[in-house]
Amino acid sequence: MQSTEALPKRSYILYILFILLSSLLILIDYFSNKELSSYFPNSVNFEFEIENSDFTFIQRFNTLFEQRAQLVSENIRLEQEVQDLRSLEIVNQELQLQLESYEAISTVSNIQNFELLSSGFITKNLNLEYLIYGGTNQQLEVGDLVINEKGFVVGYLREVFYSYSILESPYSSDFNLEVMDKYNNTYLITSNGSEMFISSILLDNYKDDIDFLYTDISFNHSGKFPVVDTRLINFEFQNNQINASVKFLDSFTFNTKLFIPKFK
Amino acid sequence: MIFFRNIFRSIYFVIILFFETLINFLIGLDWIVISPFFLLIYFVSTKRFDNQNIIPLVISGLSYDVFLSENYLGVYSILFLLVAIISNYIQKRFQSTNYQEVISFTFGFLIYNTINLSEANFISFFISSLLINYLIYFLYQRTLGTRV
Repeated sequence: MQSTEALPKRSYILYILFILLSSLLILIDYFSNKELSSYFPNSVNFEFEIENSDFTFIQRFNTLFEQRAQLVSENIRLEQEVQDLRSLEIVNQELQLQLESYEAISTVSNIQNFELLSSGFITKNLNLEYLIYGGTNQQLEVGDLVINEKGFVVGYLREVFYSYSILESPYSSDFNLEVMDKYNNTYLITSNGSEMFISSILLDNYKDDIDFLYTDISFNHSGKFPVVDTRLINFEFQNNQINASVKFLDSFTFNTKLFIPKFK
Repeated sequence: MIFFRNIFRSIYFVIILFFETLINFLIGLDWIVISPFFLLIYFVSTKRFDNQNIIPLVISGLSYDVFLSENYLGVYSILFLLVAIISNYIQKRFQSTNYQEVISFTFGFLIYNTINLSEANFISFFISSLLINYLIYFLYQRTLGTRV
């Protein structure tokens, strides 16, 4: 054994020579495009030949894993499909309801001349004023009539904002609406919040079979829409004037569909 | 005789080198490496410095370049020879100080890991690996010392 202390510095010379030799190898390998360093790995085959039967179990496992993966992906696909079908069913129900409401409203004469802007309730305040969707963004104006899905007038717009409006309905004591029967007699409908009062303004040609009271363009309404079915109302005659009171049968819910008819 | 001794020593070095690769592959930690081959180089270059170590070091480097690295042939041979020379030189240079071994070990290990110098977490990797390898070397020396 040689001690390090005893070694002269020239003992590094051989090391340095071999470093230079290795550098030469690097150069050769560099200029031969790594042919030298890739000679052995390319010529020696490290792979062992294994019989196919040895892979049988592995292949079975592989098949099992593949089948499992296929089942999982199929399950995910089916789940997605069920979700899509459910959402389609909901859309279908909504469309059916919308269709029914349109069918109901189509009983109003000349309804095809109107563009029906769909709306709905947002909220109501303590004075029973209803906030509904739609405002100046849909070209709504103060006084525009609001009808339900049966085509009956449920009120008019008292105030219109950008995307919502305040509906003046018969549930408000400020409600008043001029209407007309089919013989051109005019009436005023007011409300105290719990029932409506109908009183005649001008009776030129009164008959018993008036059936409905309508809005009219002569009162700056957008069209002729029924307001009250008078067939079940008992009118009182007094001094050539007709008066009647009507209790509210229907009440608004947040599912009540509302339409604002605008003449095309 | 010298020829056979060189052959035997080369095989022995290559086995240790490949064992180092295997053990680090099995440990699988990015932030630490155990380097028995470095310990071997360090040991032979500080305790048993000899020209007869050149051929085994060169052959180890070449075999590593051929089978385990993507570098050009000869890169690891140069690296191993440099580790041997520098470890030995520093060991002799700082012979008078108390920490000659630590200094030479650190420098040698730094050169041994020059290839990894560009890695982002090199400092943490280097420090942890240096500590664990020095610990192994220290324990090995203590074991050897009791025998002697």
